[in-house]
Amino acid sequence: MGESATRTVEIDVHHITRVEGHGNIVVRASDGTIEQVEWQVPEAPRFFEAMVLDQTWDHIQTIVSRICGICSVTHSLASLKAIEDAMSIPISDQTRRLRTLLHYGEFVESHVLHVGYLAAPDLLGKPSVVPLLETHPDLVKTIVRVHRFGNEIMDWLGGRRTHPVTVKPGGFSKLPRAAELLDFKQRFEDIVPDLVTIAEAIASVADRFPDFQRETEYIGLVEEGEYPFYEGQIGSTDVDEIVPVQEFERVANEYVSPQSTAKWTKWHRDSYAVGALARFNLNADNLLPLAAKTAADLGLEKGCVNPYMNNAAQVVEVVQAVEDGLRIIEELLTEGIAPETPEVEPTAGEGVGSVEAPRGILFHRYAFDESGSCVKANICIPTNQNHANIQKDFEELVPGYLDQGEDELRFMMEMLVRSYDPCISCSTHYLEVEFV
Amino acid sequence: MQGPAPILVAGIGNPFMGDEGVGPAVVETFRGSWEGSPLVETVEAGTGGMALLYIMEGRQAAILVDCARMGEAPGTVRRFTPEEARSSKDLPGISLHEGDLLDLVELGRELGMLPPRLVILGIEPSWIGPGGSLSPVVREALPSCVGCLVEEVGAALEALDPAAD
Repeated sequence: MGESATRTVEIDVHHITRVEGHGNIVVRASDGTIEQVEWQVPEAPRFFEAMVLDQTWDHIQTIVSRICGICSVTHSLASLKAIEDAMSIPISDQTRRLRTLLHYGEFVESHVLHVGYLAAPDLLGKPSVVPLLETHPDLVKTIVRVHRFGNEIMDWLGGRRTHPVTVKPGGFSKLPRAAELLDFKQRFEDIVPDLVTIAEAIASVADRFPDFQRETEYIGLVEEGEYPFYEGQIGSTDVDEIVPVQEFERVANEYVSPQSTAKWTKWHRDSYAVGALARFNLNADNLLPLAAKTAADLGLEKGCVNPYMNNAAQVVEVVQAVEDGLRIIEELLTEGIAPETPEVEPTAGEGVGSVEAPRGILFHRYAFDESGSCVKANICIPTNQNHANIQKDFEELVPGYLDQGEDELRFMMEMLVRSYDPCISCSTHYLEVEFV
Repeated sequence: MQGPAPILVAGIGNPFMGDEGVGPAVVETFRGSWEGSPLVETVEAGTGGMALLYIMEGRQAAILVDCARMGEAPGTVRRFTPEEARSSKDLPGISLHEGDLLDLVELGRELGMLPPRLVILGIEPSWIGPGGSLSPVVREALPSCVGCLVEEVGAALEALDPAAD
């Protein structure tokens, strides 16, 4: 094949569902000249914001937990924190710890699913996880076991496997018993060898992560001495300034891109990234020992600007979540679970809640009137914060791979998107079938 | 009886997205109209994806009630097994958030996590989009959907293998 033939590509990964759009990848190049490189996100408008308007404060969490089937805990926690901020509702240390544990359950299940179902097939040269079962059955079974473990934490503390029902403004409607804590302490200990197995499997193929570097601003929660998921203020790898979460709009700077109906964001550069790699770059110094060792084994170092390594950072975070989760359970066992019931008198006010979602920092802002009805809602999701960054990655990636031909370029671009695992088209899961 | 109830009835979908929420609505109506049995567990499975595998595991039968575009008139309910249908969803494979029940069933089968009896009740939607209520035509079809579910639960109860616990 002549050079001009390989340097002319036409890629259009175009998928539209009837309700919400998927991300489309478009590349047009002719005779080595790139004419168009676009990450198009025809996402539906953010209708959940409209849906919570006029709803009372005690119904918000139930609704927003349905925004995403994978991140229902994170949306729940961000909404509760925003309501508590708006109405000055105090929460106990016990509630904070239990929420963090529940949150870890979601991180474990989401990250291991991402690594196992999207990244591992790419790294091991398989089209999906099902053929991986034939070649790497033990690895897939280990991944399923860890995913189930994360799911069981959510079932235990959230009252359900997804869309938790026990978390309320001010606390929990149902508290765990000491025997359950003891049981889960054992389970946390027992799952560690499985985490090591997964980390070793990914480390053994880590050289297959594409070697692509692009200087990037990374943004996430920071908290002195912590690797935070549930609490903190906003930090950036570009500046020392720490921004209170209440001022998140100053960081996110949402704007409309002509190629997307989802809002894009930027702060000190044309784009920024959120997610596991962002958190790692901001907080790696505060990892617990096994998580730090896992990072070293994976060749992941603070300052990494290879977006494909987000998956390696996710493996590190699963270990961190289990190590820290075990510490929290031990504290709760030592101190005992105190009976407490959330009691809230709604007041007028406005507040912000921010937590780290598996895919990056998440912000919820609500305002309430005197009766506790929601009069304003703004939800800024991590996927939207990553869109501009995916576009900028594409612009730098494509010229380097133009000579490799359409198939390789398309694979590289899809793998890049998969490393971010954008949360699109996830509030509906209906079947679409034909009969055979 | 050890372990979960042998028969699972799961409503799948999002109650805040129009007819996408018909699965949970049918299961809720069924629960309210049925005398109940320790042999049958009803679950609102939401859009949790993989979690459904763990909910199904260890059962003798699962009946999954889900919104399904099948090319039928809105409100039509069809009973089928996973073998009788193939997905015509156009998914790009770039995100974990692309849910497809038939893909999940295939994985479950490979992992040996599926109940031996697995039936899907698909209900054709009229409208899917933001909003917490069913379309009128699907709402009107609820009683017939629940009727099909009652029949299916009856068949699953009859087929129970007492030796399998």
